Amino acid sequence: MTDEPMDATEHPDEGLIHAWLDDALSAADAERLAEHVRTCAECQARVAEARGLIAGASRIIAALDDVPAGTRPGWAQGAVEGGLTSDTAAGTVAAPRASGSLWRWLRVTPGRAALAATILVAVGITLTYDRAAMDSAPRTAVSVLNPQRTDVPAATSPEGAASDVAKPRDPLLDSAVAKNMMIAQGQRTMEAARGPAIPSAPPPAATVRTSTGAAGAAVALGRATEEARRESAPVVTDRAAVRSDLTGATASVSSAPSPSAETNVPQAIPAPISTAQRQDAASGAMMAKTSADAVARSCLLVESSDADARWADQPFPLVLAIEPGAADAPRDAAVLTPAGEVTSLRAQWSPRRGDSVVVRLRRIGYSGSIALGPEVEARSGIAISAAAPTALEEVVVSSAPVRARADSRRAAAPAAAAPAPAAGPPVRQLRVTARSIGCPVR
Amino acid sequence: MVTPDRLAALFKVYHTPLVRFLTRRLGDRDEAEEIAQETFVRALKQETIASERSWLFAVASNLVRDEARRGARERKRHDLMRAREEAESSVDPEPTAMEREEDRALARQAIEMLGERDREALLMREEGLGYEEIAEALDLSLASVGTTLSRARRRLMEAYESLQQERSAERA
Repeated sequence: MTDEPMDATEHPDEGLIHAWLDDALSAADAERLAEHVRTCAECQARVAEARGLIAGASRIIAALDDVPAGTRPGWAQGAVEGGLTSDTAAGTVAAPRASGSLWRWLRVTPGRAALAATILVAVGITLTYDRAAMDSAPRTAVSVLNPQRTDVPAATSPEGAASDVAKPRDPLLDSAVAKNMMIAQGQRTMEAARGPAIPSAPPPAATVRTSTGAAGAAVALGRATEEARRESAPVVTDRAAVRSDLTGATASVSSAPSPSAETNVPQAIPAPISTAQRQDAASGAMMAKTSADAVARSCLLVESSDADARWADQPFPLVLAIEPGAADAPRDAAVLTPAGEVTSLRAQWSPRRGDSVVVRLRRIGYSGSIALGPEVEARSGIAISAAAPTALEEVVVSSAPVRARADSRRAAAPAAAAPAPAAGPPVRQLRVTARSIGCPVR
Repeated sequence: MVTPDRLAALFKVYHTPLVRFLTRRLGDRDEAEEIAQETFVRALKQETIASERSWLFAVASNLVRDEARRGARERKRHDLMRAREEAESSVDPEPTAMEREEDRALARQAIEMLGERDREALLMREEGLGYEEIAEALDLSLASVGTTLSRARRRLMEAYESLQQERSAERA
């Protein structure tokens, strides 16, 4: 590295020591310097100091690597972008001017552009989602909680509606609660119009299993049967949109109620109520039941005296395993065999006034119900079911005359008697009894 | 004329060390990348390049120097103020991050206190350039490279320690 050979007797200068430590000396110079350092304590100290300086400088320079981008001042940026034309570099080439591109001016690199696009899309999705939620929530809240609604039947209004309206409400919370309760309790797409009031029956003095003398039990059973009749109506109307005269139990629902029919009904059928309105009313009623007492899972053994009796496609006896829930609210029920095997049937357990119960069949392809009277030692009732294809075959499109006939039949029939179909394919009304049992192990 | 293929090879080999060298020199990665890019553009227009690495670092150093001439005082004042502000107004609660930031600020101030040639020689050496390459890039004699480097290292250490003492005195 040096032009002249190094004298081993002289103390090397600091630059030479650094060159030696940087391995920049020739082999001969490095050997001579090493020989000198081995015998010179002063130079050993200088070499040690030089090692420290090299290491320290390297450490300081390495600290410069953690440098954020974009820290250059504006004047410097302009100077570089506009000033890289100096002929001082290498002295031979005229440097081109920096590009005047907007992207360059914005300092947009492909990575930054991709990141910005990602952020933009994410923000857009978030805003759109939030906007959609805000747009939909108030509509739901108004439809459920609108205090101006007067077309909702009074019977469907929650008892605490007045106080609920007076309270400040959170529409988002209310709509969410209503929706969840609708899902939990089974959503109805349509409810039957309200029929004649059925008086509550006093408790029968004796078991109704014999059904021989207890007028009260008969009244209760008739009322439950009527309830079942109305409960089973939506199953057919949901599929066919018109009523059938098949069972004689569907006349209370019609797309065009006739005046004559209304005269036969003590409680006039209210003005046509849309499905949405009924859902709204049901939501309000369900919300009012949140304070109802909860009951545990229970099971009923439902038996029939008929040997070949079936509910839908399942032979009796059957076990209704009623899920836990509010005592006065509909609850889902599994239909099991007495051995605890799960069948293809599902049901909904709906308490009615006077301790009667309507069990509505939930099975695709079938409609049916079981009406059960008040429980003493057991419940006595009537089960009906029909395959859907059969019912659809019997659909009468023109409903007004049919409705008139049906209503006249209903008016003529005593309340205690189950309405019997006047015509059509046989839909068996099975006498059944139901008693509480311990739930079989599934 | 340097062909595009040759330039691509140069870029692949020397871009990273050149950007690191310029980043250390300037304290701004974006600016370093721009000057490195400009350096390679100039390489493309060269007829021949004898010593590629020393040539690239020399051109880059000249570009930095040329930029620095335009506003050396303003830049130095700005960097000093920025470094001090960053060190003093750091909101990072983690001690390690704060210490690292202070080290960086002190290192930046210390490197700026060196003479230009000393600074460039030192940074080139840290990038692995040999004495011959540094001599060629900075137009120095080979014998003076060691002296330049030793002086640069000593002054850098002295400046850094001095700044550390000032910082300690301010905190005290």
